[in-house]
Amino acid sequence: MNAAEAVSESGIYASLRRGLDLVDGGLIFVGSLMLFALMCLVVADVSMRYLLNSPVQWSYEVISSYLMPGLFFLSVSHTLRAHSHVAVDILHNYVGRQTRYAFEVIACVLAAPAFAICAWMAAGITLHDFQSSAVSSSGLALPTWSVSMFLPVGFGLLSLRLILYSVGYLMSLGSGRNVLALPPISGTEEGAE
Amino acid sequence: MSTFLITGLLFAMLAIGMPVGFALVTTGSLGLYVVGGWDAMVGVLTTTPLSSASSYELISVPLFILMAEFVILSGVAENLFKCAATWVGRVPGGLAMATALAGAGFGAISGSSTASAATLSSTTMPAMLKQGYDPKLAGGVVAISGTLAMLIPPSIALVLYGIIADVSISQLLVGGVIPGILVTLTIMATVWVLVTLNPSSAPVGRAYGMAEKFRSLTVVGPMLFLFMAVTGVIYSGIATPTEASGLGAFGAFLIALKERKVNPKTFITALVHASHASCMIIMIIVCAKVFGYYFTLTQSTQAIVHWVGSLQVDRLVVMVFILFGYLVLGCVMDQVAILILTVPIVLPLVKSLGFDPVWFGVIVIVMAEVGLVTPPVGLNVFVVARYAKRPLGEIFAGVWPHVISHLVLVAFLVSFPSIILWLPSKMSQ
Repeated sequence: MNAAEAVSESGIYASLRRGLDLVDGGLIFVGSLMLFALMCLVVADVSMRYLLNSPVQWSYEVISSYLMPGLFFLSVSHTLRAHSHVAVDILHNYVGRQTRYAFEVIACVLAAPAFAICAWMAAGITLHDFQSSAVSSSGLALPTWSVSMFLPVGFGLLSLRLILYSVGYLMSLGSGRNVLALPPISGTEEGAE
Repeated sequence: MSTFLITGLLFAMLAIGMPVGFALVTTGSLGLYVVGGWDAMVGVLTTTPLSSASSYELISVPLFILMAEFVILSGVAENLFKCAATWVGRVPGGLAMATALAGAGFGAISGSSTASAATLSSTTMPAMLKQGYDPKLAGGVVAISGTLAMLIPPSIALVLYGIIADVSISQLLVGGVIPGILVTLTIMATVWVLVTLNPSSAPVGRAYGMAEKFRSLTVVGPMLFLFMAVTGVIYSGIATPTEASGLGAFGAFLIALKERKVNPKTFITALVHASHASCMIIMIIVCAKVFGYYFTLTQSTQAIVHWVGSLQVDRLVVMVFILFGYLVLGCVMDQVAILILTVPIVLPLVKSLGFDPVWFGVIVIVMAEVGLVTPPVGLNVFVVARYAKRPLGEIFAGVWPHVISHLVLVAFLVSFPSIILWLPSKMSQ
């Protein structure tokens, strides 16, 4: 197996991975549609401003409150799954398989807490916004929880994925089996996507 | 002291292959905790990601990436090379020169150098090899021509620099036009020298009649349409870069529709690819902001500026050191990461030395072009090797003459800043 993720087909770990992949697959679909909506809204706004002298009044707020955060946070975990978060992996060319697994374990274990703290604290803020029915002070008076929820959702899923990857890489390191395949190295033809 | 430790930890995390954004947020959070305690760290972590990702000015990044995806989907870029080859294929090294022209043409309608290298590899390499070109010459010119998309507007890299440096994106994009043309001419001149030294490396192609030459120009229509939809409206002051990015993506989508290349599968694939690339860039921006707060609290940037100011050396010497640093970094790191990591620290220094930030932005991107083809992390070389199914070593060997001529051009642009700054100074305000 090359870059494809080689996860054993049974067991709790594989089920968790499949569940997370399913959720991420749904969210990246929504995030991608948000990107297309962003394009349509910008074009509509510019066209109406120049042709009819009547811009889309709510475009700025919808773009900055929903479409941009949605595009980013809903895609962030799936982007890790696709190995699209850029990394400097030169050292990986010169070390063995076990060392590479050790590097991946360290990277995931160190990164997970920062995103988890971020998601946990932001979830508290979103919950507070929801309970207090707070609305934004801008023209559309949007419920603030509907905007702030993107962060805990996106970084929460990213934290979960990092934790699952830590476990998968650790199991691979300990067992010698390919429980979770290593990411492709950009310094190889395989990694040149 | 903590700054050295945290920065050292950042480099250690980068070295073991942790994604750049993750390393920045991890070390930035730790640094904030050390300097300001738990409250400072949590305060930044709970507000910065959402506010950074919500930035309206950032929308040109995903929209220019989407434009590049739709241009690829439409397939119009594949005809650029045929058109250029029809016009210049007859001269010695003509197909290699046509590759440079196709790279420039692709750059004028797309800001993604990786996409450009992939498209050029699949269209130009087979044609050159079929005509008996030396694979090293062919691979080298394809890899370097792909980098033109990074400089010629709409350039995603220049947009990123503008956002990070808080410099006019319009001026930056327009500032990339003349250097883009110069880089294209430099690639063609390098090919001419190589072919003159070794004529057997590039057999002369067949001649085309005027009727065929004019027929090949059908590709120019959609190209001009997209170029005017983006660079034209920015230069004339009709639209801002953010608006132009939306118009460009929409224009490319219309062309893909007209070419009947859009179906549910290709449409979603293009959107998902664009989402991944956008997310990767926004992630680094968001996480660099967290790290930036830590750096600001420690006043490290001011310390660096003061230190360099006290060195009593000529400002050009400092600039040469900075550019050498970019050359070295370009060999080991991704260009987007380099920009986001270094510009907030280097730009205050550059400004304090009296250099123009628009000029510096364009220079940095020309240096980044070199970084895209130098080993061991020359991304464009990997892309070419993969798509053209040629050995990596062969492409790296073929690209060296272009690296040298690029560096000569950088020296020229550093010596004469007005080459870059003239066109932005003529823009409609």
